[in-house]
Amino acid sequence: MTNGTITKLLQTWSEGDQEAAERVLPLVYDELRHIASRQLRQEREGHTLQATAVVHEAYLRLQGQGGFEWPSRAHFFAFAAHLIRRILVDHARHRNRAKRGGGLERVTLAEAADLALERCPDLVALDEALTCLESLDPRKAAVVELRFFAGLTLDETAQHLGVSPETVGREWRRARAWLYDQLQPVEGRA
Amino acid sequence: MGEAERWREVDRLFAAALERHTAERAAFLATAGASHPELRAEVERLLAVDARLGSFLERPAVAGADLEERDERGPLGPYRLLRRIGGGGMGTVYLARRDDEQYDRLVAVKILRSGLEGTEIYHRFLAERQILARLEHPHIARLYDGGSTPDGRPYLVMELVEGLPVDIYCDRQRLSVDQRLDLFRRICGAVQYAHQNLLVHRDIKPLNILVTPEGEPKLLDFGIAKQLAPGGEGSGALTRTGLRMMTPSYASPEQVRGEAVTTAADVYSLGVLLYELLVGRSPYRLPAGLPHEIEAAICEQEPERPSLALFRAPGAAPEPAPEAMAAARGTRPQALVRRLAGDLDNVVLMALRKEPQRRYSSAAALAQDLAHHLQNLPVAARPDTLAYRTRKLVRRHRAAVLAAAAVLVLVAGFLVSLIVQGRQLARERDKANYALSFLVDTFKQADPFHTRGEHLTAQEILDRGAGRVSRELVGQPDVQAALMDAIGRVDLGLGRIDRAEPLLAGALAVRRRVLGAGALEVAQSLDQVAAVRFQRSDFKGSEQLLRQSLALKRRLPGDHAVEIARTLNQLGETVARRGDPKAAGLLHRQALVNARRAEGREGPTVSASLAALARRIDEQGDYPAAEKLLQQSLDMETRLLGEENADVIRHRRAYYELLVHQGKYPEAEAMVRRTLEVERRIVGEGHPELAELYNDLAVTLTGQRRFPEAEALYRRSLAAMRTAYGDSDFRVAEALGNLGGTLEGEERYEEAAAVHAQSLEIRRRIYGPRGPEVAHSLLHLAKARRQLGQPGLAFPLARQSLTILQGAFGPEHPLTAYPTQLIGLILRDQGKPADAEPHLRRALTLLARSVPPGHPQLALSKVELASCLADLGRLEEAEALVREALPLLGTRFGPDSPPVKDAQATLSQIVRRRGRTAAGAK
Repeated sequence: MTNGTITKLLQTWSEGDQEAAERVLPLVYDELRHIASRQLRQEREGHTLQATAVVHEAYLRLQGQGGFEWPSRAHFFAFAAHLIRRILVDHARHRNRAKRGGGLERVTLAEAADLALERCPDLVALDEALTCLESLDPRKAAVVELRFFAGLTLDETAQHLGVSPETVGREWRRARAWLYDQLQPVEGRA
Repeated sequence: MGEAERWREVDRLFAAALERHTAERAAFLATAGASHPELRAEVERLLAVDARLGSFLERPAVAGADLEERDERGPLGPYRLLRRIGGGGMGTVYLARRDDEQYDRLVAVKILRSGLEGTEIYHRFLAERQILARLEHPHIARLYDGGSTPDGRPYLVMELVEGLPVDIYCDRQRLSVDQRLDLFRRICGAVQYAHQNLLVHRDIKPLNILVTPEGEPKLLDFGIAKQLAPGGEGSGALTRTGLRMMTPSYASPEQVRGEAVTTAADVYSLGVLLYELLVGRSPYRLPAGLPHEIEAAICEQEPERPSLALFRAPGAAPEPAPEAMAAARGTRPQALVRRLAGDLDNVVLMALRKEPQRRYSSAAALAQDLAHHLQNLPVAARPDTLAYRTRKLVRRHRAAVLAAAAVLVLVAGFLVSLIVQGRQLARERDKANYALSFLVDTFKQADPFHTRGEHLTAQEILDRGAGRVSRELVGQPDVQAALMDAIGRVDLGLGRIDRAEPLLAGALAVRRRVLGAGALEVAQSLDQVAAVRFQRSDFKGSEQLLRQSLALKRRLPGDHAVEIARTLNQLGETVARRGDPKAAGLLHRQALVNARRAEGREGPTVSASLAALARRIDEQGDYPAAEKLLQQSLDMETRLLGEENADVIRHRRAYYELLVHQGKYPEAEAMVRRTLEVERRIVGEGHPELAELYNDLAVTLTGQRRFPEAEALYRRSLAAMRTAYGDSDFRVAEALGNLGGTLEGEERYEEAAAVHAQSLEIRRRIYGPRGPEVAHSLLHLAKARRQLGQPGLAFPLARQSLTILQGAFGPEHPLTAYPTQLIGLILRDQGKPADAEPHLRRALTLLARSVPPGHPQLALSKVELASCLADLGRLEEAEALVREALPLLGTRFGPDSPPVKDAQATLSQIVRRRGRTAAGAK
């Protein structure tokens, strides 16, 4: 893949072409994983991964690397948030299938995903509900991705989406309530 | 209102409601949402969810401890940092020494972590500095100094408190209950002092209360304290964040809910602390100890009396044995329980009341009451009144109380029948009394004070009752049978088929033995057992039992018209399930005659018979006639029984099924949503019938091509149904079929085929190979196969489907249109348009005859026929048909929907070819 194509893909992706995202994904994924595992290895017990830090660093490293530019920092964040979501959800999906080996690459984002699973026990269901939310209200879904998966604060999220923090706060509450409602088993719905 | 518009409107109302005070929201929504009750209901639900969300998604998926945190050493002004002694969300605490000429002492230095400038945390840190500067109390850690690090981060210099958290201190020192109370009262003093300085601590917990080796308590960490404006509520902005940062186990209900926090919140936290100091356990039973569980318990669970908590069954978290707890208080378990029971129970529970205004008015009042207790004076705290408790009981155990009421009504019926029969009156009265006192006894156990605060559900009450009935009433067979029947029926109503079956079958057996085979009660039991069979998808078995019951009821002396009508209706439902709506319709007509004889023109059995008949007519495809009857029945029932009646709901279901058959999906959707609201209120959560309603809702969404929403609903509904009814159930098969339809809509044909195959297998098992339901599965399987490019597989399936439907309903039934059309489509795919045309035309005719002109299927069928005609070169006819269809498709599915695009593609192809033909002719 030449750098020209990457830039092109990113542009089409930013215009809403999901397929383009699928194709740049491996590149960014590797970078995220690399940074994550290094951070995890450096830190002693009690210090785990922080998504925001990883994403920031990935951005700095990928920006300009190989001569291509991300359309903007906000784009990169949205992209990385989505990617983290993918990684965590895929991991949750396969967790029971494949036993984690104690082999070479012990520390990966997947281990962070185990952490994530403690926070939100049903990531797969959350992912499905979030997909549904995307179709209903893309911006709310974006808010959730940035907040929950990329770990941004309300203010940062607002900055990245170019709206006021109040708006993000409102959208976040509605989205959160809606998602929570969706995640209840049918009989437990409020 | 379209989906998008609806969503935006809910957004708007939700946001507007959030800006209002909790208490004002209901009134606001009543006005703002008046025109759209279903929107209003949705907003209300969102608000309710929002209120008890707790920390859901608040902590990022990937976030651990602060990465930036690092040890710092070296000088900081006159202080030298020695080592790190603690850390929190805000920053790190260091042991430090001030070693200039003037002083030489150890202090604690708290430094805000970097990168927080300008954030809320930063401001809160500065606020704490101001707060502490104002406080001077022997039991509050002192602030000495403050400043900024060279890189600009603020820090605090505080009194170094070397001690143990209060709970650990008490246990290590083996303090007695009296000593603990004494220590606790001094803590109350410190809290009271803060309150007098207009500060709410908001995070009172053992870790924030250290006890020095000299035995002096010190209150620490005003990090999330809130300043109360004199006479006002203080700034609300910090409230929610405050909750996020505080320890959930000690949070008050108002903090968990994010409501206004006053000094009463600290009183509550003090209550939790006192509870734990006294008995070493949490006030709440937390099976798994998960955060959301804790928050739910704080808001909803009544705390257990401390005197009962000692012997509480262990939960998820390992708790020390009662002996160890008592030993740490220098006593034995029994003595400790005696010490706590009474006054101390009451004092603690008063501090822990859910409503802030019902707690002690201040920390001082709490301390004062404890002082009274220690001096053997009467305490102010009283247990909740009986009336208050009953209200709470009803609120908390709504489902349980309803179940109890249901059993009582049934038993009252039994008692009345005993009296009416009038034989051996004295003996019967004894029996009646016995039955009554037995019941009262069973339900008394639902009182939390008899169950040590256990959370009793309807299920548990019923199970308890069932167990006692079969064990203890062997000597009173008629009372036993009546109660088994009553409890079994309630179980059946709650969808607990496994529980209901042995009870109802048991009642039947006992009645046969005691009353002989010819009694009315035996027939009634037969009806109940038949209902169980029906629920288990055993329609043949159900039918046999009902026919027995019917024969029995008809033979009975006296007029039992209502009884006979009921059995006839039940029989009709069963026969309809077996695929014979016509025969079933005749049974309902008979039922109607009997019902009218007993009730006159209007009555519950009359309207039930009408509704059932309407369903059968709907199934036979005469939608307008069905609609008229249903409307009649619904009006009558609502008048007679009110909105919230199980029968009314069931018949409203029939109504929206009819709307679906007529393609009126948005109307059907609105109706399902309304029904859901009511049903949820009546049966409570957890009832499998709700899963069926979600399935119905999804059907209406599929009809509007809202596939992802529908799919999610189907999958959840399926999971719930499988749990309630098992895999091999007619409702599961139906939901699978519906899910398959949605997957087809999304063009996920492989998955659709797999799902339909599953449904087919279940249906074949239940209905036999020729049931009409089987035909539906076959049809859809055929559709999926066709789409997957397997016409060879699809064709025989479609044929089979058609044969079954024609056999069951006759050749003119509208449902036969679908397999007929599919056969035509397959033939067209195979390049045989001439063979295909009559099938497609026939399908269109069948449909046009039965569905209203606005039915989208009609338009879709026209487009299909048109493209076949185009293949045959009959372009003019074809073009006319597509043009006829387009406007309807547009209004139904939207201008950019796949059906419209397909139709446009077909049209432009036809037009192109016509142009070419015309040009060729010239």
